[in-house]
Amino acid sequence: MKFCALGLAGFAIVLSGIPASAHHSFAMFDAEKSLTLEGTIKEFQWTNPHSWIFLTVNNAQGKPEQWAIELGGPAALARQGWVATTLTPGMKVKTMIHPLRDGSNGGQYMAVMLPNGTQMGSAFAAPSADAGGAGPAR
Amino acid sequence: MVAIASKFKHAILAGGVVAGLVCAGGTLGPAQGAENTKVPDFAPDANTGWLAQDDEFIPPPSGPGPIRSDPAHPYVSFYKFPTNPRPSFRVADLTNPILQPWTRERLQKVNERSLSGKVVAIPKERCWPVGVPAFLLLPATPVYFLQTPREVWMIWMQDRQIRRVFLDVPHSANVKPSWYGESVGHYDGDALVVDTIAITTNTFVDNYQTPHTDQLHVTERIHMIDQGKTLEVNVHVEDPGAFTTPWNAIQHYRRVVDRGPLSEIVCAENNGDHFNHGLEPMPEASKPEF
Repeated sequence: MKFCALGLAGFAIVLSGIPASAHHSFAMFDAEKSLTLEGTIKEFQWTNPHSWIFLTVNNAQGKPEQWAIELGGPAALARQGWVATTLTPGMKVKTMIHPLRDGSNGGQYMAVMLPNGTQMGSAFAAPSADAGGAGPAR
Repeated sequence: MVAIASKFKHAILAGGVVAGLVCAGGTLGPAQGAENTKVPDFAPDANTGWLAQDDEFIPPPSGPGPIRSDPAHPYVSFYKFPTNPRPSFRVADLTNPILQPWTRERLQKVNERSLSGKVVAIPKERCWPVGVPAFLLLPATPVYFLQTPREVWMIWMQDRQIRRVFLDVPHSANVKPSWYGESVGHYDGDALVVDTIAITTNTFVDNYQTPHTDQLHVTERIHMIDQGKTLEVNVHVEDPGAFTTPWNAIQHYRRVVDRGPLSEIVCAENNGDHFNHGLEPMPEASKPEF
């Protein structure tokens, strides 16, 4: 499980909107970038004020790393069709995030593609031309 | 058996109080004024709430006003401009003449953290009660009103932060400082006028984290404008221990009916520092406070 793609995704903000129950400023995220991660669900926390995905992703060297992805709270997610068991440990998914500005392994949830092809959230951004290859690109 | 019966009785009483408040606020409407004139109804039904339009105060038309952002580092509010891809953290304008040297110095430290690129979490984001008048700057989810003949409650949905305003009574002779202080109020025509003192110095007056002293005294005039679509709060702040002069500020709320009724969003359920940003700690009691 690896591969990350980078693309400009300012439009994704418009598509997804800001969670109505946003609990803090999203200034920590780079909303002008999107990052696509493929990995394995380690844990999904269906909680307030934010839900969380902890995703294991292989880096460019094939070494597994943990990513923390922040989502809205259950009420906001439920309006988008989520339930507490939408993600379960061991599930292999593709997800798109706005990455943290400080470069650490985390970001703001934008979309998730489930193993059965169901897509939650906004549309996945098209990979940019320079985003080929394995490993997170920023 | 007696103890059980007593507990049951208290439960019934407590339920009755809550039911009474809900009925009074949500069904029966607010009380009539002393002259039997109709007072403003901020809660005509359980779905009506009021959504803060900004997380910093609007300056008054003239005269001393609230802390705003440093013109060299304009604040782009994530809440006011949700589609702006470049929201920013706050950098306070330290040239505001209301600041005494020590308050300016405290703000300077917050500014330094913000300018360093580190995440600056404001108290409500770490589940702390925010106090008065910073309560007016809680964004994202609505404030709901419960109006009864003796009290008005203001409830921010996101973390059930609650203010209680006791109507038509004077302040207590010896009031103990608390997170929301002691608020007394009365209706004045189309407005609810609220007077608050005894706010703990653990709070700030705004989201720039402007400090205050135990002399903080806040007066709010809450009224509807724009045919009831907007709730305006005119704020007057006095604190000779922190500010060089009294100052005024304004907040606007938009009437919303599609967010209610009040639902449960508990801040402390899972508010860990999962990104390892070195955030301020959440509330934790070191000893019982019963």
